Formats: sequence, C-alpha cells, structure tokens
Amino acid sequence: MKRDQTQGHLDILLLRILSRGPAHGYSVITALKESSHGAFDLPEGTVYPSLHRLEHAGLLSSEWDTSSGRRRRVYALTARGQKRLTAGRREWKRFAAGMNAALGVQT
Amino acid sequence: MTPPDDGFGGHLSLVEQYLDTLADRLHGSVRDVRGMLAESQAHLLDAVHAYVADGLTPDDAQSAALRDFGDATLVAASMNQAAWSRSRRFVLRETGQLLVGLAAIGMVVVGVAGVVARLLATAISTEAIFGIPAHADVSAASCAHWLSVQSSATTCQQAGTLEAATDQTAGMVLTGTLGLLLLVGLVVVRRRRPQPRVLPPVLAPAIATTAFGAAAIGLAALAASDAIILSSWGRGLWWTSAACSLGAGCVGAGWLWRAVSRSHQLDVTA
Repeated sequence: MKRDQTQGHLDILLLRILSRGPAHGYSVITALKESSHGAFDLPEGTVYPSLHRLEHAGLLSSEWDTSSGRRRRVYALTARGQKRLTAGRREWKRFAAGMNAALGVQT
Repeated sequence: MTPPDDGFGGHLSLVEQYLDTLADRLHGSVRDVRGMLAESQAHLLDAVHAYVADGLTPDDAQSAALRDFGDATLVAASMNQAAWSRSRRFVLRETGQLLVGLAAIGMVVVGVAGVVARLLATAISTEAIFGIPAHADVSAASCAHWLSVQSSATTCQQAGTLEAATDQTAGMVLTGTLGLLLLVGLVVVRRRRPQPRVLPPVLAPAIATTAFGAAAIGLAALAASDAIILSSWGRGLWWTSAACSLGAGCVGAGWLWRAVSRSHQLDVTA
C-alpha cells in the first residue's frame, strides 16, 4: 500500500492495536506490520509522531516504563480513544461497503 | 546522546551515529527532544535484539533496524512537524505574553521617565526639562488656553512650559501605572495557567535590549534636535527618556547575558 494511503488510516489502526492492551512503540509497530501482513510498511520512525498526536488529542495516554531495565514509553487507549475507534470502525465499514458495491467486489 | 545500554557488552556504533544525526535534526523543547530520542533509542535496540535473535550479526542487525526505522532526515522532519502542531498553541500564547510583557515594561519605563523628569524639573529648572523649543510656532489659541489655565505664568512661553510639565508628567505617570497593572495581570495569568516554555530563553531579553537600545538612540536624537512631537516637547524630557531607555536596555543586556550563559552551560553539560 502506498505511504499516503497508509498514513490516512494510520490513526485508526494504531487505536485498534492499542485496544488489545497497553504497549510500547516497537510492539505497536511490529503488531501493525504483522496484522496487515506487511501491507502497512512505513518507515517505523514516522509512526511515533502519529502516536504523539493521538496522545495530544487525548485518544491515548502514555507513561515511561523502566521495569524491563530499559526506558520505554508505554501507550494505552483512553476512553475517548475507544469511542473514536468504535466510530472509526463504523465509518470504515460503511465506506468499504460502498466501495465494494461500486467496484463490484464480492466480499 | 548517551550511548545506549545495548546488551552486547559494548556500544552499537551505527545506532549511536544515527541517534546523533537525529538529535542534530530535531527541533523543539529540550524535554520533547529528549523524549523522542529516548523513544527512538528504545525502539532501535528492540529491533536490533529481534534481528540478532533471528540470526543476524550485530552489525547487520543494526543496519536492518536503521533501514526499517527510516532515514534520519525524514524521521526528524516527521517528528518536528508533529511537535510543531502540538506546541503551536503554546508558541502563539507565549509570543502574545512576551509582546504584552515587553509593552508593559516599556510603559513602566515611560512612567519612570516622567517621574524622573518631574524631579529634575523641580531640582534644576522646569524650562530646561519641559520648555517649549525656541523655534516653536505656537498658535494664538494655544497661548490663550495655556495662559488661562496657568494663572501664575506671565508669558505664553512660560505658560506652555508649565502646562507641558503638568500634562506630560500626568500622562507619563498614568502610562507607567497602566504598565504596572498590565505586568501584574500577566503574572497572575501565568500563575493561573502555567504552560511549558517553548520560545528560546534568549528571545525576550534580545528583543528588550534591541527595542530599548533603539528607543534610547531615537529619544537622544529628538533631544539633540529639540523636537516637537505632537503635544510633547522639552529637550530635558527627551534626554531623561533617552537615559531611562538606555538604563532599561542595559538591564535587558544583563538579562540577555545571563540567558546566553545559562544556555551555554546547558550545552556544555548536555
């Protein structure tokens, strides 16, 4: 998938991954790659600004964790983030159904 | 950048070099930059460990991790853009407060100059401080007005000077008082709504030093030319105002010097 297409959906994907539980950046990005079977292959460093933006918007929270011996920032979904994810999934379903119908794609 | 605890009994030089490059390209507050570097460092070390666990040598693992992470310039640009989006509101608010604060200080300096001018007029001569310039073309209506309100004056020149001493002192003291109130208001706002400092610490003193220095030169030029600006005049008043502005400029220069020294110390200890 092209980078600009990926970036457009990145926020909702990050929220989805963090809905499974708190995680640090590397885990989130690894999960993003694995869950998309490699389709979302962005430069990993460019994903962090999206995490920071989501945190700033109140959709994620974060705290520094040193329990593993190394300093890591762990992100978690907030209640507001959960609501945004639910709304985003609903929007995506409607959009995908419309596109599939228009393009004649069987699902 | 602190060498990462890489778990390989030494430092990962490629990762270190990358983080140094990233540090050079990142903008924003020290706190933000440190956070982004720490996060990038943790990510890269996790990635290197994962590649080593998959059978790559440490050098190959570093190369692969850095390739996945992205070019430092691209990553820094992306992080800088996000940081600017987050801090834009703070930058605008702090800039507004900076401008209001400097304007308020300027008003206080005007008030101080008014008080000093009045004291000098009392101690030396009202004519020397507030006197109408000899070349001034005064209308008959103005003369009549001044003579009517300054009953102790016997000439138009004397009445105009006394009127200027009264009006200009009152106006300048009022300006200074408003400036003080503005400064108090600014302090209250900052205490009630604290926000992270995002502007460079040398910016405010640099602007203050430049503005007051320029004002001192301009006011001295007015004093030397014995000018009339609207209803303000008085060679001594211009000289007093120039001296007060110069004093404020010197205070600003001292503030600037401290800010520069502090940032230099931070650079050395970083």
